[in-house]
Amino acid sequence: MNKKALAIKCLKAFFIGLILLLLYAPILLLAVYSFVDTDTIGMWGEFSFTHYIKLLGDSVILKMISNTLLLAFLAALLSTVLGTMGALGIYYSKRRTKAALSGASQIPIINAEIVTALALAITFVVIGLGKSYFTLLIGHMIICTPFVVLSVMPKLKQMDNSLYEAALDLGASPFKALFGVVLPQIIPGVISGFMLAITLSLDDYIVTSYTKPSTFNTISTYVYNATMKGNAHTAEVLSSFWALTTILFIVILGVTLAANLTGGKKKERTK
Amino acid sequence: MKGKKIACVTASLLLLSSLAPLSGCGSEEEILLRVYSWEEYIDEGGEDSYSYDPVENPDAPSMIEDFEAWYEATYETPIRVEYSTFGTNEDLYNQLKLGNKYDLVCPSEYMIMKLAAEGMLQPLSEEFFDENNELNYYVNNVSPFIADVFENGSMTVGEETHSWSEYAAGYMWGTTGLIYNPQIDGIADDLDEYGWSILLQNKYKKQATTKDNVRDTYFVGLAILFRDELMNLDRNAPDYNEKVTEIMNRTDEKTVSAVYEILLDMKRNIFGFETDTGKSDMVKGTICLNFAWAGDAVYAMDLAEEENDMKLNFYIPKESANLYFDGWVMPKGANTQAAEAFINFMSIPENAVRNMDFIGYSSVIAGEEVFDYVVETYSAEDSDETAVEYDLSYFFGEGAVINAPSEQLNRQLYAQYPPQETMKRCAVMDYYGEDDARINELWTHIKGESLDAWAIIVICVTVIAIVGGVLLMKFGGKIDFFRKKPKKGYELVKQENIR
Amino acid sequence: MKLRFSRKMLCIPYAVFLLFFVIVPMLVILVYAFTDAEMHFSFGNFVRFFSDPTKLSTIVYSLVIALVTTIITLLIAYPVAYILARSNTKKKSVILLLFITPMWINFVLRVNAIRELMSWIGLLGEANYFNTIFGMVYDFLPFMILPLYTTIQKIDQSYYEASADLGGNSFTTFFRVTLPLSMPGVMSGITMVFLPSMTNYVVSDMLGNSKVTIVGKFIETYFGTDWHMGSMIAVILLVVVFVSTLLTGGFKSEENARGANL
Repeated sequence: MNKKALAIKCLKAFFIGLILLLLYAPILLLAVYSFVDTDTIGMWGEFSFTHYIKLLGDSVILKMISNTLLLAFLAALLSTVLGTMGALGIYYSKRRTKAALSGASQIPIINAEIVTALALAITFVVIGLGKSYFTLLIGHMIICTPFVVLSVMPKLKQMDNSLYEAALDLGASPFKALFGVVLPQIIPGVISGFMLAITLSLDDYIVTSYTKPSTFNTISTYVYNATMKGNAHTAEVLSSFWALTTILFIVILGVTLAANLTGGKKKERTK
Repeated sequence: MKGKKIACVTASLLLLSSLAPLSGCGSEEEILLRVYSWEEYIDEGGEDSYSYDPVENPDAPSMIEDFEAWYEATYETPIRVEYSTFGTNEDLYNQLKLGNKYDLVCPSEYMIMKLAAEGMLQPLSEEFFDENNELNYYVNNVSPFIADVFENGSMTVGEETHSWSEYAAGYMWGTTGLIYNPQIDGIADDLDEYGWSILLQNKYKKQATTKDNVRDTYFVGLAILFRDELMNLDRNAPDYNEKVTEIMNRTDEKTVSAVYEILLDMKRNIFGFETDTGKSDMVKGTICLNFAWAGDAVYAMDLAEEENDMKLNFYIPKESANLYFDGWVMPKGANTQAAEAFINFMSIPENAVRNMDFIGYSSVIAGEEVFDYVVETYSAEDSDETAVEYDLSYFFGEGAVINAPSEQLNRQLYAQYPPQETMKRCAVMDYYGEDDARINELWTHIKGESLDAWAIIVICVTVIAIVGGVLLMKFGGKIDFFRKKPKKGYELVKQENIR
Repeated sequence: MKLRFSRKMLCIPYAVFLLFFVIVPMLVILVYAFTDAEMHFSFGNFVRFFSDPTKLSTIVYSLVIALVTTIITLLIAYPVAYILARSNTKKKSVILLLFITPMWINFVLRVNAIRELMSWIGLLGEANYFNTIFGMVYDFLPFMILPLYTTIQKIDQSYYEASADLGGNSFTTFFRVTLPLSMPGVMSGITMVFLPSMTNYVVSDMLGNSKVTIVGKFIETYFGTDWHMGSMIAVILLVVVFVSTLLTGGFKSEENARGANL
């Protein structure tokens, strides 16, 4: 490798590293403070595991976390399925339908969350659905699905149309052609849509608070409510979430490293 | 064969359905009480609870659990409490407006008035006020001071006027004020000299914060605007508090415009508007003045001592300060009996102490146990030579005097229970009613950005030009005027869809 | 008679879902926007909005902030996605995941941490607009990186080779081959960043100390007191965005990016 190529390679690595560092600086801060016994970021304190003990010992907090994770997973799954089908349908539709559906799809993204939340809540009241886990799921799906559609569409536009026709010509049924030919080409989009959906669901507060059953609590609703009128106890719970952050980070890192070590070569070939 | 199958299925279904009503037989109806309040605004038991004792009460059940047990024991009916939380008064209002049913909610004073004005509340029952019934812990233990405030406060309910006490039972109360760092040179004198308008002083540029909501900030604006008038009132006159309250409730157009100018000035001078970060900013020293509710101030002062070995003080300006409270009210259609039982249970002095200890705010209850708790928390050591007598008989009744360290005249004790002299100048700010829209517009104008008129015009013209240009590019081909004309001598055969 | 399965029918569930849970609620909002407190039809909100310089200025500021945020995010995300997608290392999925994982930590907690870092640097309270934009870029970066990455990754190697064969250097290749081919990803990314950045007020509240106000904050405040005005602002925002999308050709059926079309 000549010097120029090496220099460019280093530059690229440096750039990625820099951006990663900026992205992770706050997370690292939280991780550091998860081992300090203070409830306020920015204050000195001593090394201690209090936050971890609080996190793992408080059943209310654990229930909140499991609620949040389960809801996010479910909502993301449903949104991904619905959104992928929607994206496929939009892609193959005529111009007018395409425009109409694309437009309608963007409405939840444009709207401030309170608008979506309130409008949805009013609609549910009128229909007679009230507030339940079902309405909560729908609320989250409304936020997530447009992002799934937006993630899948570029892959569809990049796709080679002729492969589908070729598959049909070779005798495959439309279903098989779809699943065997089209889907694999858009999988990256589907997966990234799924990831985005999980993110949106995890962080959502307003739509959640307007569509959830009364005593259901997620991390977000707790954090937001605590920010409005907090006291010593809310501060403790909030700081236990730093511990959660660190745990999550380590778990994900571990999983991806493990997955990557085994699946690395495979990815190279299917490019 | 098929007939037999159907008969079997039908028979078993019939059998099952006949068993169903049997399961209901023998158990009493369980009452459901839906309570809607602030996050972590009630004792949750466990090790942090005041009631926790490793020997005698290691389990330390939460207040809710204790209530359920107490109710069943007292009224011989099982009850289940569904406790949910909201973040702001406006959220509470929206949820009620959307038709969600609750039996008991805990709004702040102005939201109580707003809900009452819109006819969304039902009054407390007559039985609730019977002082002879010892189960009516609220009326028997509430502080006379608070009871007076509630009795004298009036609000419209539909067409009529009622006093607050007919609809609301207090829970926690406090005043607003300024947390400050006494280490700053001359700050105590400046506070005396300027009062609320210290927030406008250049010396404290980018060193002060106020709350990010319209009511608290408007109150400050009023206090600054009418500072002279307020300071010139005769503090010993019997109607002093009435006059202060009147001034602090002015919402006419002229006042609002004047306040607007003041608040605009203030916006430029302060560090920012905050909801929650103020406490930690004070503790870290990022700012040295912080508008706070008394309950929050106590927490901030505790935090500063614990984490940073720093002593912060609390100041209630001499012009006036806002007297606020959160109270229990029943939305229409509530289960009155169960709701009132809940209020009464909360008002048992022991429980009031537990809640107070957990949350950090001041309870409206003034029973013996509460006073003992205050003495326990704030009494000076015997060896403390600076100890002064702190008279709280206006709140707790005759002879309620604490021997407190003199520094507490400016700190947590002062924040939780200001002396009577200070309370005289504290006023409740009502719900604005019809003037609500005007004040909200004021807030929009304060918070929003402002561009000069010429800038807006320039931008509008540019936008229209861009829009026009793009439209022209796209559709110009179809309009005759913009079509390319053929050269002389040539004729256009057909121009269609040439893209 | 059995309906022939057509691929476009796949969008029916989504269309129904949109109809019930997006279109109908929007109609509710429209109703609120064009009525007054007594639910009588009125243009009052509309008039009040446009005759108020503060509201108009705030929308302008929000648009500018959103625009700047989107551009900066794009400028950072594109190189990241490009480098990652084109690299041959085994670790690129890990690194991509590293870019995504921060998103899963609760946003409020992260912004709090950023606030603290800014306070250490000394920026807090001084450069409110800068802080706000920085916070927003931080928040939206993964949203832009993902679609760009998935799009660039799929660009066939042969295109680069063809371009080199035809005499193009890296610049030409990038601007005439890579960029146009990645446009679908760019458009998605822009949509996912620009629109929400006009309504996300948590960042401006925490990092700008609420001295920076965005349209989203207005809407939120109005929905606490006056649902009608809040709905009107929301409707106006929608119209503004739709009009600009129409003008930039967002809705027209895009020519297939690959050229040869069967």
